Amino acid sequence: MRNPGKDGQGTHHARFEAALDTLRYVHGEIARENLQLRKDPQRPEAADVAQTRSLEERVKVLEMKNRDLSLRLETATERRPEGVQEDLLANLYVAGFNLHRALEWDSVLTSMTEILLDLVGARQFGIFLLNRDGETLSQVASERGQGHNPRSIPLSAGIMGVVAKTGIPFFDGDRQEGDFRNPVACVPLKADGRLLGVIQVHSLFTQKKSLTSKDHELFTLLAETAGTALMSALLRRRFLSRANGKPVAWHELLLQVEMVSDDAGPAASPAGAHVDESEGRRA
Amino acid sequence: MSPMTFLIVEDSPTMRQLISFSLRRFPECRIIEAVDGADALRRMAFEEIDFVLTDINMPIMDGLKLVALLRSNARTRDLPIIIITTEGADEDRQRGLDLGADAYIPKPVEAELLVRRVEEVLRDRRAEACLRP
Repeated sequence: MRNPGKDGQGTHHARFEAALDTLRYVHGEIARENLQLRKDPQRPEAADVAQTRSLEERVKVLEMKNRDLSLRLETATERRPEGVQEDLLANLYVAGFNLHRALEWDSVLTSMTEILLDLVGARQFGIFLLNRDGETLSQVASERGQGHNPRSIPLSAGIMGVVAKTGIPFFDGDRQEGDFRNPVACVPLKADGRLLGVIQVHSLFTQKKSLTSKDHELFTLLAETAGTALMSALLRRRFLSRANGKPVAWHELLLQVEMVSDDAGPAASPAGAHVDESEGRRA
Repeated sequence: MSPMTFLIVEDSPTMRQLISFSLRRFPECRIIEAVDGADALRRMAFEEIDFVLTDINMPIMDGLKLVALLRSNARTRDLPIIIITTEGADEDRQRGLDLGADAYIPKPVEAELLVRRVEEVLRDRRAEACLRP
C-alpha cells in the first residue's frame, strides 16, 4: 500500500528541488548575460551615447536582479539552526503585528522607523514616497538623514531610481557604511503591486557588521506590508479630511465600510456580521 | 525553574514586543512593561519583580537613573538587571555596568542572545547565593 505521508514529503521535496533548479538556471543565465554585456568589445565603437546609457542601465538592472536572486538562492538553500529560525520568526511576527495595527499615517511611519532601527539595526536611513507627478520621490521620514538627503529625487537618479523603476530590491550584503549615492540597501514600497516609494538604508550600527538573509526577509515584509499600511493610512486621512475638521466617530467609519460592502454585493460582507444601529457599531 | 516576573523598560513598542516575545521561552513567566524609568518605578510599587531589562535612552527617566535608584533601594538592591544599548553608547553602557547592571545586550536584539544572557545572569546569581555563608 502506498504511504501518503511519505509520498507527500517526496513530492514536496521534489517541488522544492525543481524550484531551486529553476532559480539556479535563471541565476546562471543572468550572470552569463551580464558578463557578455560587460565584455562586449563592439560596444564602445558601435553604440551611440544613448545606446551605451541604455546598456549600462540594463547592466545595473541585471546586476541587481543577480544579487537579489543570489540572496534568494542563499535563503532558500540555507538550513538555519533552530535559534536563528526562532529569531527570524520573532522579528517577522513583531514587525508584521506593528504594521497591521497602525492606522494613523504617523503611527505607520513610526512603526517602520522602529523596525528599521530596532530589528534591522539600520543607523541612517530615509523613507521616500512617490510624488503626484510620478517622476520624483520625496523624503517623508528619516533617521540621522535630516538635511543630508535631497528633498526631491528624480526617478532617474542612481540606485534609488533603478529600484523605483524596476521594483527590484538592492542589497549590498558586504558593507556596513554607505551614503545617499551608495546605499547599503534600497527596497521598493508597494501597495497592491504598485510602487508607492522606497526605503533606503545608508549605514548600519557598528555592532551590525552586514545585512543577513534574516534582514532580507524583514525588508521583503516591509516592502509588501508597509506600503499597504501607508496606503490605508492615507485613505483614512483623506476620508477624515472630508469631514472638514469635524471629529468623525468610529461608528461612522464602520457605516462607510458597510456602504462599500453593500455596493460590492453580498459576497463582500463578512458572513454573520451586521451593524447594530441602536449602538452604531459592528456587533 | 520557578515562574518569573520580568519587567521590560523600553519606550519603543516594537522593542518591548520583541523582548516580550523572546522571554516567553521561560515557562509560565509573567511580563510587565513600562515605557520609561518613572513608569517602571510606579509598576514596581505594586508588583513583585524578579528581573529587569531596561533600555538606556528614554524620556522622563532614563535607564541609568533607574539602575542607580534600584541599586540604592534595599528592596530592589539585588534585582538582576540587564541594560539594552545602542551604538555610540559605550560610555553609557560602562556607566550602567558600574552602577550595578549585571549585563548588557546590544541593539538590534537577537532573541537567542537575549535568552542566553538572562540565563547566564540567573545562573551567576544562583552561584553567588550558594557561596554566601
